[in-house]
Amino acid sequence: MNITRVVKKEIKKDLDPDMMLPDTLPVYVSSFVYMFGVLTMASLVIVISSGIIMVLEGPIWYQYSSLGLFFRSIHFWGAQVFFFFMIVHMISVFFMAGWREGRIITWMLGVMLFGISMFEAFLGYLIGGGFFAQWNQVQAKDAMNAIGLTGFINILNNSQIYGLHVVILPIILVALLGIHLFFVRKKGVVPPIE
Amino acid sequence: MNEEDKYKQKESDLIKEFLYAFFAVLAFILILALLFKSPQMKPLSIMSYSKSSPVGFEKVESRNILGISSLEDYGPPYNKNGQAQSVGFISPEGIEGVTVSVHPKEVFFIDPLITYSRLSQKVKTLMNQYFYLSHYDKSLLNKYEENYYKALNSAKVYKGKVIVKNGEYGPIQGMENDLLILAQTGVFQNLLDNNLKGNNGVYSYNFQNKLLFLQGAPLANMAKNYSMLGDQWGILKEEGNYPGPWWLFLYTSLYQIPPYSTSPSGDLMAFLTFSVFIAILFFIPIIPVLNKIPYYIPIYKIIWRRYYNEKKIS
Repeated sequence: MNITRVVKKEIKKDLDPDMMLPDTLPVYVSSFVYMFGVLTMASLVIVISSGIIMVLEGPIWYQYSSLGLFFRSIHFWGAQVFFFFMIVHMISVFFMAGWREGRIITWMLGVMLFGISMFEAFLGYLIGGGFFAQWNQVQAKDAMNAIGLTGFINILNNSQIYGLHVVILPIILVALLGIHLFFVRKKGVVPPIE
Repeated sequence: MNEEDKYKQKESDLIKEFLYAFFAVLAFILILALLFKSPQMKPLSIMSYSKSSPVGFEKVESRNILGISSLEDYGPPYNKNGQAQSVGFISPEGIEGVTVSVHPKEVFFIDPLITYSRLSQKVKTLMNQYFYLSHYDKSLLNKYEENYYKALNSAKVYKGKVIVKNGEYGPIQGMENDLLILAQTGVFQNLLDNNLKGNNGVYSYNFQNKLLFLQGAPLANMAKNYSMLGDQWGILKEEGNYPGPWWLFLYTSLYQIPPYSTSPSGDLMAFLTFSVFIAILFFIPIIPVLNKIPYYIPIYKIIWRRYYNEKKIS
């Protein structure tokens, strides 16, 4: 078996531009609820972009300089908007029974994205650098201790939280989002309930 | 062929739609950021706390040496003195055991003073007295510790120093006052996390011990002033009117009701309950009845109303 040839064939089959980036859509895709998925993605791009700038300059910059504080505000409001769009997207997909006709994996990936995003964003609050961060670190440590994770992720150890928040979890999120989108396109937009 | 290809098609430009969405969201976020900025309540440092509340600082130290701090009988992962949280036979904390050992008396009291004693003969003499008593007359030492803790209730502050009425305090009064000086200079807080594993504190961003020192009255009193305590939906609140992590509403709401709010294993119970909720959400497509909810509550008829109308007409 020629593995390269098999992979090439699969890529050609599954990543066909006509399927991934169609220039026509079914007529039933005409409700405003369809916007929330793309709005969630757009806000994620803004959150990640502002986060990258903050990481490049460092915590002192985004906590004390006026430009840094501005980017921190973009990151903060970006996360709020991201969650609003994501939750509306999830609720609307639920009421469309969006898992029908072979779309269960797409739904499950969406729930995973929701769960990881909640943890990721909460970690962001913990490294904000203010009183709220300190207070919630000592509050959240009891939950982390209770589930036996402190030996692995010590919520009072800022280097671990920082690493998780700016590297590990975003990579997982973006990868899962890529797979989620792949399945959205592969299976197509869920048709109306007949 | 996709399922959707069975339906009548219309012209679409996904990339253009994404760009429109992106710039609209960007504009919205920029407006929010410019208008409202972001929360920036200053953090509490041990140095600032010891200056603003010298008696509070010495009370925290007294609780540490008397062994009555909340950390003393916490149990895993900090020590073996307390019960691990458990629900039935499930006790991840118990299985994990002590992974980040913290003994409050040593970490917050003795170790910083040992360092200080290298610089001060006075502190060295007090430490020698303390160790002598801890070996040969523990009950007397305990009496001194208790006397001083009680005396702090009526203590006064003069020029940043704690003044207590005359009494039998042995070396404790001097040791606590010296620690207070160390804290007010900022040296104490830097000593706390130096003993953690790794590079003797160099390149360390581990603030575990600093936070554990502050976790009781220092942070809790401040949180109370801002109505941020756990039973006040604290974790959802931010400074002023800023939104906190409201998406944790379901998780946090568990902490407001018994048995979660009253059980010593409330954290584990809340985690397990929320995990069940996420699992239900994850598997909802294959859970009978639940996967029919969208059919029972026909919101889909509003979402696809145009499609249904056109279908009816044709």
